[in-house]
Amino acid sequence: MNKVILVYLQLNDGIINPVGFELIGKAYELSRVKGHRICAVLIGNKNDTVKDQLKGQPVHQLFYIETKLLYNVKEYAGYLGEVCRELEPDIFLLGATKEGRSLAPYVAAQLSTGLTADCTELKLDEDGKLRQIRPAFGESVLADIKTRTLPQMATVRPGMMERFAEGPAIPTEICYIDKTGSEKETMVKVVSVSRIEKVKDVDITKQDVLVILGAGISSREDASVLERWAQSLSGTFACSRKLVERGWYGISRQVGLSGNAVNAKLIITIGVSGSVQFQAGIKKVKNIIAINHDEAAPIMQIAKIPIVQDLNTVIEKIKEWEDERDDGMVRG
Amino acid sequence: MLKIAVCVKQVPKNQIGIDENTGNIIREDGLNCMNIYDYAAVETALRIKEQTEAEVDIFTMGRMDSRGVLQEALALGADEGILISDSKYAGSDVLATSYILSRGIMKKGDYHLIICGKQTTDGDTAQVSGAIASQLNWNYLPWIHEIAEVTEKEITACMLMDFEKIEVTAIYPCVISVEPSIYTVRIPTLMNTLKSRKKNITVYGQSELSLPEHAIGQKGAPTRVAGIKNLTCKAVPAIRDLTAAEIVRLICEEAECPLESRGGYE
Ligand SMILES: Cc1cc2nc3c(=O)[nH]c(=O)nc-3n(C[C@H](O)[C@H](O)[C@H](O)COP(=O)(O)OP(=O)(O)OC[C@H]3O[C@@H](n4cnc5c(N)ncnc54)[C@H](O)[C@@H]3O)c2cc1C
Repeated sequence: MNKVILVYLQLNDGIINPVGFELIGKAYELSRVKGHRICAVLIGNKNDTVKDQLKGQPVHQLFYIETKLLYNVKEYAGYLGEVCRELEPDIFLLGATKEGRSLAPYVAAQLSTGLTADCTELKLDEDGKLRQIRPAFGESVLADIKTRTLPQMATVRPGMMERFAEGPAIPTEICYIDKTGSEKETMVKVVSVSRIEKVKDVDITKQDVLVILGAGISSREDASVLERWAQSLSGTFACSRKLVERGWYGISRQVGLSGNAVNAKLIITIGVSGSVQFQAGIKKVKNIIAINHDEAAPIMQIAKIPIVQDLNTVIEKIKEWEDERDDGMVRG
Repeated sequence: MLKIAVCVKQVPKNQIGIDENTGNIIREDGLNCMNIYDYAAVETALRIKEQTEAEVDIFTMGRMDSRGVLQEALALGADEGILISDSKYAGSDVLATSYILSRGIMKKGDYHLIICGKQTTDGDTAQVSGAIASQLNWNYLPWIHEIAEVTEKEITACMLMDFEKIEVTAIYPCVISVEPSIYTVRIPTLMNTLKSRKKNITVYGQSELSLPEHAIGQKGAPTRVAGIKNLTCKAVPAIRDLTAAEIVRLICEEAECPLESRGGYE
């Protein structure tokens, strides 16, 4: 059996996606248990800077699949399947990016092997089997998953694994696999490509602190008090869909299934009930402070600090403080 | 005429919990509903049907009581429901599920397009649509957030990737997964609901599909849950006795926003 851990490096505009280095870091840690070799595979236009980008990384072999095809799941999965059949890796890891999450199931089904989505931790057990840990059921439990077929495949959530820090330098052997020309055969033709412009006035998915406003807030004026307060907490404000429906805010502020999934370290929900659709947008948030006068609201069941209180009293207090501060500024 | 298959799933209606003592999964109230992401898939198929002549069939794999989600999709305007159900299919993971679903779809007819929701609220893997495409060796367009054109031969649609939007034209057959933002979903009209009562639901089990036992259910599932660890314990007891001032202060502390520099709240 070839003892190989294979990682997929996603290439965007010639740059290796950061999650690729996190996969290498994890692969290195795993490789020390049973002496696996680390191989990497990437797909794209030939690009000499890749070699430099991988400098100092513990990758023994890089399979560089050259193609002019832009992201094309069937073709890309076919290439990766070929590499896997050739190399017979024990483990094959991809980043849980949109690219990785759509490529991996196609490859896994081709190889009739198991696949675990969006892992947050990976370990080898005593038998050298990969234990794939992932949050499940709305992130309320951690499931520990084993695969009995090879390769053991998983996608790994970006930002969860440490990059490789230091170790003996390994020269990376690059094997080019020429697939240029295959673009003529594909049944999927690219019409246009456009960068995803962040035309949003604010990107609530990138904020650490969010004050999230819900339908429990009755006036626009109260809402603007909370908008300002969010700023003073070094964060920004967001909202539930009901406030978008009221026309108070645009979709870029909406948290939830049909809005945005946020990554904040702390959210403070005010007058939000916490519907299933709303919760879909806050799965990654660990710290939730919820203010609601209804103890039974769903948000109160998942909050770290559920506070039963009339939100109007809280808004009053903030207003008072604002007035005092403004007075102080005038006096000062 | 264009033939479209839509895959939907029945999921527990409310957040599933974990029994702290036994570690067993509890479906709090036993209530079920259609996976919310699947409404967008049904909606997409219906919009296509309104534009071009198309037949929309809804597929689901699950227990016999999953019939309800098919009925719901029929009331929205779909043509026929196909329930794939057999006790031998229980315990299927992504690989086995995609295998069974793809065989069921193949048995029913020659489809041009298969539409799936982005993911489910219970499994949350977003993997089944890609695995179905792979089982059939069809083209696969994931994360579709806009459809530009649908003709008898091909579909032009836009994939929402990590850094870019890629608009592509794919010749049928093809599997797509759609983002929930693609369309605002409709609610069933009374007329459609009444009409849907006459619509047909076909049931496929092992006696119809005769799939090899090594590829289905637990035997066909290469992944296994070896253990489960509870993350959030029970709901934290709600705090009732804080004044507004204390609440504001508490939040400032949690946000690591020093009170002094803000002039104090009390
Ligand atoms: C397909 C689909 C997609 C959806 N997508 C989203 C989405 O992305 N995001 C989203 O948010 N919703 C979404 N929804 C809507 C969702 O189902 C809920 O309707 C919505 O989240 C409710 O918003 P809310 O919590 O602000 O309002 P409500 O559910 O009305 O809750 C208001 C809360 O405020 C509390 N409250 C009222 N007055 C006070 C007071 N004086 N003091 C303290 N508390 C008070 C109440 O107890 C209540 O819990 C979607 C629905 C569908 C069907």
